[in-house]
Amino acid sequence: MEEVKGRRKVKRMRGRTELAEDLVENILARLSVKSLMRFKCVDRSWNVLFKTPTFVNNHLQIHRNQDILMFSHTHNFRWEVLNKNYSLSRIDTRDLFPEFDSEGYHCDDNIHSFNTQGHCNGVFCICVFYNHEIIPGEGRYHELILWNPATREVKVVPPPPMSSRSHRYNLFFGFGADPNSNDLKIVNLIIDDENSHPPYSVLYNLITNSWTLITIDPLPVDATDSTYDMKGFLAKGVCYWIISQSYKNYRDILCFDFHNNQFHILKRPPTSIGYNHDFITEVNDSTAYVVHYGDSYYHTGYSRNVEIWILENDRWTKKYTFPPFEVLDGLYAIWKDGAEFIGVVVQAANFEVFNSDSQSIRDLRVRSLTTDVLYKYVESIASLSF
Amino acid sequence: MAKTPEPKRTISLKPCDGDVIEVSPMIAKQMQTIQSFIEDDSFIATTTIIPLPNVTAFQLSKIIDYLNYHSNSKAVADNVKESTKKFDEEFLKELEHDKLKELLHAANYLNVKEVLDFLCQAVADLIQDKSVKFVRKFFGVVNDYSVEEEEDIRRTHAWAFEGVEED
Repeated sequence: MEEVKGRRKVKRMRGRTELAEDLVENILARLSVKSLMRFKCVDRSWNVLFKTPTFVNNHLQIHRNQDILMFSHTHNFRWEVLNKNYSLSRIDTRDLFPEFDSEGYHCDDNIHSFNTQGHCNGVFCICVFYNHEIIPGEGRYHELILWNPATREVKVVPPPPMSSRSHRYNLFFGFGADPNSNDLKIVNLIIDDENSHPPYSVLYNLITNSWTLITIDPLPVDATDSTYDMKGFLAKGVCYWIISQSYKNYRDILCFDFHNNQFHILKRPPTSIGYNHDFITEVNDSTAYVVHYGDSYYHTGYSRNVEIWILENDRWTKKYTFPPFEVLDGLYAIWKDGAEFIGVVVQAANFEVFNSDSQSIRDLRVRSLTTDVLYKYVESIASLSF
Repeated sequence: MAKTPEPKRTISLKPCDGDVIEVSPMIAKQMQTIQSFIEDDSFIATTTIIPLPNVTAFQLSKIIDYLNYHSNSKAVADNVKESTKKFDEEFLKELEHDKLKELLHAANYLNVKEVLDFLCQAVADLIQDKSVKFVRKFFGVVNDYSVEEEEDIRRTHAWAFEGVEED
């Protein structure tokens, strides 16, 4: 099919130096999003091309492994991009989000706070909390927005359908995409604290711009008295929530597969002690569980090995062990195929890069105290409107 | 090849404007189009000369140069990386726009992925910060927008035109 399509297109060539369209597409998919946004006005067919799922996915594929990290801060709307060569740049958000000033503090009395819920394929999902009801009488104080910093596009997500629920409930929030189609989705799992209602789950699909109720099998998740981060970790099309309970030997990870829209449960690797310092990410194109502190942390202090466990057939296998960094306090990300870690030094205020080979440390000059999350970022031309 | 008593070590390629060029099987293997010739039953290594009516001697030798250099420098040591970078720069320096596009054609015809990727990236680097007008000229695209429509796109994406050379 592709072959025939390619040949047919060649007839548009006018001379020996005109390039066949498949070559032109190959070249354009290597450009930055800024260049593509400008070249929309080269001619109509280019503008159409940049919107096709094939082109969007090819572009994403080419740019995916560029080792770019995005720091998202909690108290101010500040977004910093870290490149492979350690250069740091800030994303200018003033045009799109005039409610935040140049330092990223909100100057709008209506806004209470915001929370970055996740990143997938170049798009961030942000929850904005207001001081007042968004629509009077509806009882809703928060709103979800999707933001593609590369195209500067923002979209407000319609509110999810609410069923009657008791006052106390647990929410698991996941943002991701079907690994085959790259269609962006949001999943919410609501578990009632008093068990007066069965757990239910709703799924938002950007393509249809609507929420649907999804049927779930009874889940053996005990959310009461447990600690977990509401937003999960995304790796290879699956969202993971690491759950721990201080007094029970509870070792579960709740998983949501964006491919078949189903939840399932996994066990944590045996050396993990809880959600606080662990995270799940992608390393060398595999799903990886990073254990920083083990059971003996409280006895040995900070010098603990860093372990990377890889997911194979629903089981974690220990693949890499790195010697301890004496001063490493918290670990946030891995990059450069596991050669370097981004973390925080004990009692320091900035993020640093730890190189496991040379045991060297480099200050990144990004304040850690006000940083919420660190995402592996990829620039994408994906549009948020259909 | 096992059928021939004394297997010839090289493959003969005949560009459209020059003498036959002999390449090693390892280099020929990277040219998918040549590979399908070799896999054909009628191919006899000792006598068959593969005609390449769409490729000039200059283009063929450029592609062979690139493959030769890169197959010998797969190491990742820093000094190797440095000299590879220098080779790539020199390689592109000799090519003006039309020659670069023609070489892309040839690499596409021979279906050499490594060279194709390299040249596509080279063109992408070349046009990355260029104006719309430059890009239209480079690709021979005739603008089919009305003045108003084009103005509208330029206005809505004004930020994408900042820091770029003027038309």
